[in-house]
Amino acid sequence: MKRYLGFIVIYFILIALSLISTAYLEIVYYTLFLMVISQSLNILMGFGGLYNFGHAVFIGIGAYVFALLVVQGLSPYVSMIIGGVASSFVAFLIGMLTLRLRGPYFAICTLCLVPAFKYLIVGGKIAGGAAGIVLLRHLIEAYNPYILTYILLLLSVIITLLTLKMSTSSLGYSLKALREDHDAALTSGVDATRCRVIAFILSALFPGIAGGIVAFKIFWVMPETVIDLTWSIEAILIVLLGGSGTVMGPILGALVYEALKDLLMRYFPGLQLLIFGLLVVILISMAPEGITGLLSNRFKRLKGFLI
Amino acid sequence: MLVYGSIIGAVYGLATMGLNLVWGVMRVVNFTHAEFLTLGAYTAYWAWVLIGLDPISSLPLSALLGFAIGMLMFYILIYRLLFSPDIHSTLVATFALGIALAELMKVLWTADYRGITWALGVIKHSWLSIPITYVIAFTACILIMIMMYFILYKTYIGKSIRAVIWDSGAAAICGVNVKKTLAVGFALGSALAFVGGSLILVYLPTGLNPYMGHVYLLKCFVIAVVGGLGNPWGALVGGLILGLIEQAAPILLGYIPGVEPLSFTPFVGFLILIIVLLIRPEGVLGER
Amino acid sequence: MALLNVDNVVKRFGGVTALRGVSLVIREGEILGLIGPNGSGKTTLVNVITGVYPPDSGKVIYEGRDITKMPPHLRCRMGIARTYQIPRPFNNLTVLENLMVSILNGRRHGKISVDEAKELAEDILEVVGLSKLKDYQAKSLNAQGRKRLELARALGAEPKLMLLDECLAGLTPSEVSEMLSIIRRIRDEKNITILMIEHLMHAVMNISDSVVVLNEGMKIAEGKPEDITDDVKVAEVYFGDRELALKFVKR
Repeated sequence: MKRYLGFIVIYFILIALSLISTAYLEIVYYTLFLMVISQSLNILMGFGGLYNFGHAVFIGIGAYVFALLVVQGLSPYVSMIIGGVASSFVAFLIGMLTLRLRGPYFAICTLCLVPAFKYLIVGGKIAGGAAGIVLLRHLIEAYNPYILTYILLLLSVIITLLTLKMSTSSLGYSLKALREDHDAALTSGVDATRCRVIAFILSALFPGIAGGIVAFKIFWVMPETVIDLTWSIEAILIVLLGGSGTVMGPILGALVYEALKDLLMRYFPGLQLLIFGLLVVILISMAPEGITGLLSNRFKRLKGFLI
Repeated sequence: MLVYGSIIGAVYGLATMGLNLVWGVMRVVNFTHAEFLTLGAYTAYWAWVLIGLDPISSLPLSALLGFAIGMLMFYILIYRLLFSPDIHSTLVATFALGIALAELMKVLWTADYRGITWALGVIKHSWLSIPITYVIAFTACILIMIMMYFILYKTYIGKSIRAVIWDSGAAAICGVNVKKTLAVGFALGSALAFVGGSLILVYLPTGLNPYMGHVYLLKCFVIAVVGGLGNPWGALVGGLILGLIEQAAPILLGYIPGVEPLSFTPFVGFLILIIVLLIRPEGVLGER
Repeated sequence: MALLNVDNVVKRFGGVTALRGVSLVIREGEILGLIGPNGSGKTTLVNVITGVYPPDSGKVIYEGRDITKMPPHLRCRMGIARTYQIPRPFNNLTVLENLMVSILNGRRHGKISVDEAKELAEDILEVVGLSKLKDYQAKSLNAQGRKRLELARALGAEPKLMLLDECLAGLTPSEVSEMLSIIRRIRDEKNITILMIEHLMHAVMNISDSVVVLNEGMKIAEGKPEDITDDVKVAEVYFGDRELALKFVKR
């Protein structure tokens, strides 16, 4: 029971905050969005040790599939889920191709995925090309920010439970082994390709659904708005900040990140990226285990809560 | 078109050479390379605006600046990260540093597009017309590459660098100061980036802004991988290939209906990257 | 009954031929010592058997099946496990978790539950003497601990054939005795066939049922330990001098 306490507390706080005012709802919404994409990335990055700079692509795919379906008259909620499934499918395809690459090669390749996807849509004039798809009239009546926020909350809870289960499962151990020492894992019987692909697919499902939510919120799906490298980077940053490979890590990371971002926006507008960039450099050099690492080392009693 | 592609390709190659070198020497992917390119371009710009130096004359300045900054960065940051258990440390750190640097440039010099007006006329020859500045830049490129050849193959430090690329343990036993060699390698790579950036300014006289490095960085990755990450000459080969493709693609793509050639061309570049990574990850000139 | 049959395996790396047509047979239930000077191809042979390197020619036959083209993880699941000369533990995982990886992915892959795996892990840690350290991170172990963890992890896969690559290197004499008795226990109690690469001559001759000698990628001798020590060719390879070798053998 003790392991769940931290999570329950945090989720409660988030729900409480969201009910205060619409301004707070916005913040909670965005925090949960970051949480969902970071937690899902953690499955691949934290457990598997693969830095997927193209994580944002899954959001984009989810958004586009959502848009295409909604325009046809399908319910937005069903469309979201199908968007997630579509993302997973694309992840399967991309994964089969790219997951055999070693660390830095994988990072570079996935980094190119985001602009590549953008150019593909604009250049190939797919789904409206640069102009995108407008969803305003299809969704304006169904729009309810509370529902969207709580769907994100639900997603986050699901991922939390999933990763908790994973850390003591065969898949979890295998992924971590691959991360630690690829060859030794192979000779210990780990099927590298299969494990990685599964992790990849899982990590794509949730951002896919989240993509649908984003599309729902902004009513207009365009390459510029839904295929954004920033999300990839924020996700990676949050995973590192919170503690890569832990379940609590991305959650804490998202909270701290969002808080920091708001703070910086108020006192040092325009300098946020600069400060964040430097912060990451310091983080990597001095505290590679992130917040959960720091807290566990400093306050040994907290260790049980911070898995 | 072939000529144009080669000329641009050579500059791309030069810009990428630094990346290949750093990767080969210490297995580090230096994402700050993008900002080094930008800084190199800015150096040329400010040299032009403040001192009146044309981009070619200011190359030594660029190179020196790049070298110094590279050394600084190595000793402060890179060296300690080389020993961290996570192989992605340098990647993430340089990436973040790059973002910070870009923002710094934005703060210092604003995000406005700037440019230089350095035009010396055009060479015309039957079907071909090339601005003379391009030819000069191309020549500078070739000269620099020849210089690199000399440095890498004829000087002690160059040979040390190649030795360390091959086997750092063996090199150490032979008396090579590995840390210093790595530092020089990194600094050399940075200098090349700066120089590449300055030359890019010649080709893109009006496109200077703090974020331009990123566009070229992606091209550099494609080039580096296609050419072979561990081998500096691979950059040249890759650069030429990409240069040619960039010129050829819009024309070929124009034949395909429903495709917007200008936007699709970068996608073709990425496609090539993925194909190469799958079929022959060592690239054309391979690495051990 | 031959458990493993290496048939004329050739392996080249660029200009170097590490294995020039090596053949050997390992019988079920025996301990085979693989010796030879450094660079003779011993570890390469193990790498070929485990599937890390595909051979340029030749075959690897295990339990009558040709596994030459089989990927490493499937070979592990068929019952071939190995240790590494320089231990390669999963550093940020605990000792117990290290074992869980090989148990869950080993011979009973897919058929064993996490709880059963945990029980088995604790049993194995008992056998190798690491029980007290089971919740410590692998990276905090000392040299002897790591060697034992290598052994434990290989055992976790519940193999029929274990390939031990210099598992005694770097151990003190008393630690060597302990390790040897553990290895004997493994063979006797669990009926596991063992191939040992070793430099520690007295250990190998002591524990092996038969010995194979490699030099520069070729097998130059095989037989019982007593026969090998009397073999001039083997002595020559180690001393580097035929005169000295003859003198040594004749004594």
